[in-house]
Amino acid sequence: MKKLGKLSTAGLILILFVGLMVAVTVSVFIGAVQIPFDEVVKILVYKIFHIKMAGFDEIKATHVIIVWQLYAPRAIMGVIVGVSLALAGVVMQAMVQNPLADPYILGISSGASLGATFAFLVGAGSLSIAFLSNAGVAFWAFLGAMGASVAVFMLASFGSRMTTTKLILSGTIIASVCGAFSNLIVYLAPSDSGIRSLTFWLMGALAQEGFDNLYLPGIILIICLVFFFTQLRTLNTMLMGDETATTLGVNLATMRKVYIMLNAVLIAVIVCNCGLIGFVGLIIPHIARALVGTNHWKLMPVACLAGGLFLVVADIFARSLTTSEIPIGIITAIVGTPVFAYIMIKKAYGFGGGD
Amino acid sequence: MIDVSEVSITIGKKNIVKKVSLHVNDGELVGLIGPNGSGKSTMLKAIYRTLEYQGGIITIGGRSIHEMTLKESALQTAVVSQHNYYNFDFTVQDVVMMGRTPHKSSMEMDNKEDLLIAHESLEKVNMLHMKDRKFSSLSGGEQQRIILARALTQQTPCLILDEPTNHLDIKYQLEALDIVKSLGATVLCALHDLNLAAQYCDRIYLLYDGEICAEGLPEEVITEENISKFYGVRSSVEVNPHTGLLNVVYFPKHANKTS
Repeated sequence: MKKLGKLSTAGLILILFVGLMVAVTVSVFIGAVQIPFDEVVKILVYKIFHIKMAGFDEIKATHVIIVWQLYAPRAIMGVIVGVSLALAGVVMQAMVQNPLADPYILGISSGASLGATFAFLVGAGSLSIAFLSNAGVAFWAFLGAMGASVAVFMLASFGSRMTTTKLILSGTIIASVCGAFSNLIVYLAPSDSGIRSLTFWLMGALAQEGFDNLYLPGIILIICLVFFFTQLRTLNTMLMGDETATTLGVNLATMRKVYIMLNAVLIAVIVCNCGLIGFVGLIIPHIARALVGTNHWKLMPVACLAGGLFLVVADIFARSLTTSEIPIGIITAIVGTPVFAYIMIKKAYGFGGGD
Repeated sequence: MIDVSEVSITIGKKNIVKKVSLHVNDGELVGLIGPNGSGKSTMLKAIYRTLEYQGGIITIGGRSIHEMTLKESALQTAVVSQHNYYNFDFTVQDVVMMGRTPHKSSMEMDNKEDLLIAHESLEKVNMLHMKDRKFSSLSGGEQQRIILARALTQQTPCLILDEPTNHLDIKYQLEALDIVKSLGATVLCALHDLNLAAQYCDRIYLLYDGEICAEGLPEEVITEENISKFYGVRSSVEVNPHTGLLNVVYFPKHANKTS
């Protein structure tokens, strides 16, 4: 019985991994410009292994650029964002011991929105400091996300000990304040065009030009992955609550602070590159839990792979459903909702607490 | 050995525990009784370190708990507390396996030996057949037994139990305490039920309004006078001829046939 469970988890991980590879490959072939299959293969082989296959030189230079500068980085970005959101979702849900938590819960989304709103509508150029006025939307969104996270963190640890309830409430408070200021800026905005670009930016997109933007989120994700895969035992005890964790010898107060900060950096970097992609960080951990249970030794790898797979597939849909592109945040919600609803209706998965 | 010396605990501005001293010798099962709100749980929480205490000193195995890391004290003391509600669904086996946490470094996977220890503990509380069930699908009493199994899996010399018989059927109340007594561990146990306290404890402390008001052997603490004075209930305390143990019978208001 035990052995079977182990085998099926390993099998599931293998299936998800293969699925992810297939999805990434498919993703590289799909886009506004249809490029023949053999050309894509030749371009990838050349770029990755530096081997020129027969007929490589006949491929149009624009095709090479499209595949290598647009489609390939976009597919990789999909993996990075999906894995990051799933990882952060699992960590956040364990950390606040609440199944409704998602990566954005501690003020990150509202802070990033405020930063982006400021950049689009007020225009950072109005600032007299040269460094700040040259910074782009991504920088302001990052600043907003980090600022809001720090504010939530400080508010929750002010006075008495930090508790999960205080964290969630602090997140709500900071989100309200940021939301109010964002709305104020929108309300006072002189032009409608800025509001439109802001809305599109916030909906999220994986579109990339080259690999340059991938390095930072990629490196931070790898650091977080390595770190959190050493924390699976602690994550398990976190779900038992503060008191039980203490009696099992785990100091939650310290770990919680480290988790919050790492999550803030990881997600802020993702948000400033790709906007707000909702739902992934909330539902993927639940889907993974429905598949393999709450134990993080199994849950974490399954959730991370499922997150990457889900986002790459969602992006394929976003690019191929209509002639123009649909923002990926819309796709994740439309695809994700029925899946999530099905899992919720299915009695086997109770979200915890039983009925 | 657990030693509490002149410990005071203040929560907010309220003095919950006032200069309490108590000790549990190695291998002793010591009961902590007292009416609701007398400070039993608060006292225990300070010993298992989820609550800070102000005055005095608490030592376990001769070392002040303040000098120990949480991991070190978790290797000394396992706890069965009252609140055990989880927002997420673990299997019974997952919950019990968590008792191995203090024995492991954070990266270390559980091995066969850990699993064996967990299964032995489950066997002891008669719940091994439930190991693959979801914890949340169990009844309150079954959950309580799983938590006891988790504490056993921790394999510590000391046990702290806060109302371990809550929610349990009579059979399992006796069984739980039988298991605890058979361990030969150093046990400090808060109990509501004076009969159970009288039947199982080697010594008893009576806590009232944050102070130790009586201590000693069961027959010295559980007396008709103390029950009347601290619980406000009339009773008769006698040695039961069938068990040879102390037996408490409470008098409801409508029962005034004698005395």
